[in-house]
Amino acid sequence: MSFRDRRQLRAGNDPWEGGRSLEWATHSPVPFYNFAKTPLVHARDEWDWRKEHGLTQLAPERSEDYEDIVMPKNTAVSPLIGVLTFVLGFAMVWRIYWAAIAAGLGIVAALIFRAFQEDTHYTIPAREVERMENEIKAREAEPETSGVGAYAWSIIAPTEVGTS
Amino acid sequence: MSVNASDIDGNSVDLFVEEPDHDAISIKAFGFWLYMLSDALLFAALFASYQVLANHYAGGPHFAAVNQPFHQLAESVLIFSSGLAFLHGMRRLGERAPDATLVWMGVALFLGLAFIGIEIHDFYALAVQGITPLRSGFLSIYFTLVGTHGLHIFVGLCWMVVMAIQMRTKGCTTEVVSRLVNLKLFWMFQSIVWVCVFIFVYMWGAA
Repeated sequence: MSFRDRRQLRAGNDPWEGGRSLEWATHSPVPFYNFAKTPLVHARDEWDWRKEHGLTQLAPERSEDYEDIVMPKNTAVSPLIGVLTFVLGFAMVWRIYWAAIAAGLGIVAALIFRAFQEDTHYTIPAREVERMENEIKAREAEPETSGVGAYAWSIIAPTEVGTS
Repeated sequence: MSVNASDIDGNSVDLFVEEPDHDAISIKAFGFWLYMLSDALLFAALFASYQVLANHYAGGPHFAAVNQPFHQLAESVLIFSSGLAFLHGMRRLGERAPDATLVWMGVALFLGLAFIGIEIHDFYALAVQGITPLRSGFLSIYFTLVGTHGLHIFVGLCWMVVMAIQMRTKGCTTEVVSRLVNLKLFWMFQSIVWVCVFIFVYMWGAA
């Protein structure tokens, strides 16, 4: 591991080249939508199977093959339930029953509130998926010469910038 | 439109899933079924603990003190009738008669309320005699096991109320029907757990 040589040593998506399952098939770091298009699974160790069969191209090649991706929206309900569950556990351990009842009712109320929420998903348009996917591919293909990392690098070792 | 590629032997291979969520209801029902299995584990642990602690009276009341054969018989009839009413309501939903589903869900709710009413009445009658979970190991596990089942029944009843409101306000959307299917699984599962409670607590204790 080396901070100085991190551009030369930068790990790819399948850094040991022995990855067998699908998590090694997508980009690293993984984009928030995971896969540009959900891969069809042919074998238990799909990524290994695809490498054997020479099918390592995971994103669609043609522009028209991209599709909209439906994603869940962020919600404050789940962390709220987490906090209330902590209160419930604490109150039960120390027998603070009013707090336990309040937290328990709060959890139920949060769940019911969530059940009535209509607008819980959003759609990434196919064109936007394609744009992000191409951006990631371009970044993977080139050495790190822009962005925050390169800026920091130019301060630490200015002469090294642009060589790889 | 499927996307093909040729592998190294020249065979054509489909690369992507074409319709990732073709049957949202059965996917969610499968997920909920797995969740119910974790609930089954919880009850299995409680039944195992009951077997261990059933004779730990600590000089306190024995099983006879909590045994009310006619109450438990009435509870059995109520919970199974409630399950049947709910099932019939789901049948009517399959026949595109959601109003009938609401009526039958109301019947299931009423029978479930009667069940939980008898249980609360019995627990209260024991509590005023000083028969509480703190008294002995047997009473701790008895109240925990039967009370956990009662809590599930209560959650199921709350769920029914929420679903009744959602059927009125949202209509029979895929999401609402999916939740009703999951509620059916949940409600049937509570009947099954009650069979186990009846056998391993009440029949086994009275024998």
